[in-house]
Amino acid sequence: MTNGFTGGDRGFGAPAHLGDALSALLDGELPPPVEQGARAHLAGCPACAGELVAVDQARRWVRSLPLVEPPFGFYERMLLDRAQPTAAAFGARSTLRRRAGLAALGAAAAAVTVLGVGSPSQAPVNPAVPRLIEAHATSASVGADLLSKLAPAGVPVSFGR
Amino acid sequence: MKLGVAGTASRALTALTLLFGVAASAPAAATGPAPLEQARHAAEHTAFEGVVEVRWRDGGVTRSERLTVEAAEGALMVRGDNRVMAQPAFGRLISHRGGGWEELWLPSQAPGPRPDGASKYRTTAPGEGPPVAGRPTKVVEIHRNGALLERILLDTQTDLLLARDQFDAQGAVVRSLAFQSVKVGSSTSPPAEPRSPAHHAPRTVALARLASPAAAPEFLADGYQRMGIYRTGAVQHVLYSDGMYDLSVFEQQGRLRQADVPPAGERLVVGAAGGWRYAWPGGQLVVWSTGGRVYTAVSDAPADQVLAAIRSLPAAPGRTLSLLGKVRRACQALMEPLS
Repeated sequence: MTNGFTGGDRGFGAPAHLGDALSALLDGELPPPVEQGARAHLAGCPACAGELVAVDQARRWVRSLPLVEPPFGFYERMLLDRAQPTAAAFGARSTLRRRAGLAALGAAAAAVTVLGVGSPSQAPVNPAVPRLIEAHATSASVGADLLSKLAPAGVPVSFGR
Repeated sequence: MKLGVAGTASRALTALTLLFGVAASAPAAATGPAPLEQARHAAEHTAFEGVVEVRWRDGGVTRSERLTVEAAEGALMVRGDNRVMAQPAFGRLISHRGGGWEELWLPSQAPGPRPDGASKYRTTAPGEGPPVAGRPTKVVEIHRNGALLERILLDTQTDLLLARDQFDAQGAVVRSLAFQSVKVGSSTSPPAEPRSPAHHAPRTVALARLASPAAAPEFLADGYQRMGIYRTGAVQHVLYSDGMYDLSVFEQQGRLRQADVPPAGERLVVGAAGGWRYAWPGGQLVVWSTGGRVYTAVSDAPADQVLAAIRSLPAAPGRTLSLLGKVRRACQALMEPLS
């Protein structure tokens, strides 16, 4: 029986693993049948189970980091550095250092970009359900039978939270 | 002129066909949910006060609440744990558990025209109904594809809606609203308009101003037609109606964590995403997340209609990467040219 996972991002010939789906599983973003398949796979795959723990831990660490504003001119300096041609006179050692520095800058920029800009669109949202219900009831009651559309809003909504 | 045997038989057959044809169609008028339009008109033009019981099925449990209602001169006040007020010309206000009033809908905000629902529903001609709260009623039923959806009891004298039952596909009542006591034509004065309510009404948004107009299609499955687009803060609200029921689709940027979802929900699938369904006193609520957006649908329509409509929403863009995926991809993109 297939569980819907056909290799993830592992090497060729390796048995099917969950790969990037682990992150989606932790986010609760997998459709129910796929989630069921993933959980079935996890039950029989120590490698994926271990990676799930590691991914969860990594997420916790990343999320515990404070947001960092890049210093003024950070991006401009980085782009200027990238724009300058690498002189042939630079020695191999210098090039390596430069690459390492740029790599560090790049990683920092990526982290800043993701944490400071990218994450809001993926930030957890807990819909304000009672407010949404009230918004529905009030808007739907316009031009309709007031009593049956509006009266239910008199009952506070609770789903047992 | 004397008829032959064949001619007599033919005429008799025609007469029988006409007789049975008329008899079969007589109880039902082929119209939309006109009784609700009558009820709307009556609620806006009749002074009344009374106690209404709202009952709804929540999973295997039936819940109920009693509310006091009073109406005069086009204004309506509902008093429960929340107070809800409708002012003439569309103003809608709410107060939570004795707190201050909030204005949730502005008198100036009129949604688009409501479809008549005539082609979707079949409404029976009014018949004599059982008394409700001591008042004589006329009963009408609303059917869809041969199945009973609603039974509505209107006050014989005023057309005021006195009771309404909604049925599921098995014919069981899933929701009802009924007066336990009512006094019609009372000397009730209209509820006073709050002096300085908090302004929390949404703003109307033009379709052209949406980042993705395709996300708010004009029509959804099962005859739901867009009536308006609104925004409150980061929440976009698209209101649909089929003439009888209304459906609100709320959209927010972000993702839904399973841990934040109340456990009482029923799991279901919306498109390629998993979602949860809940019952509220006025109908159904479905929440799901896809493509970096969280959707909440609220409706008074039967469950199958709500699901058909929301499943016809255009597919959101493919799943955006989770935080770790974004970090990984951004780092790869930045590191690649350096390596």
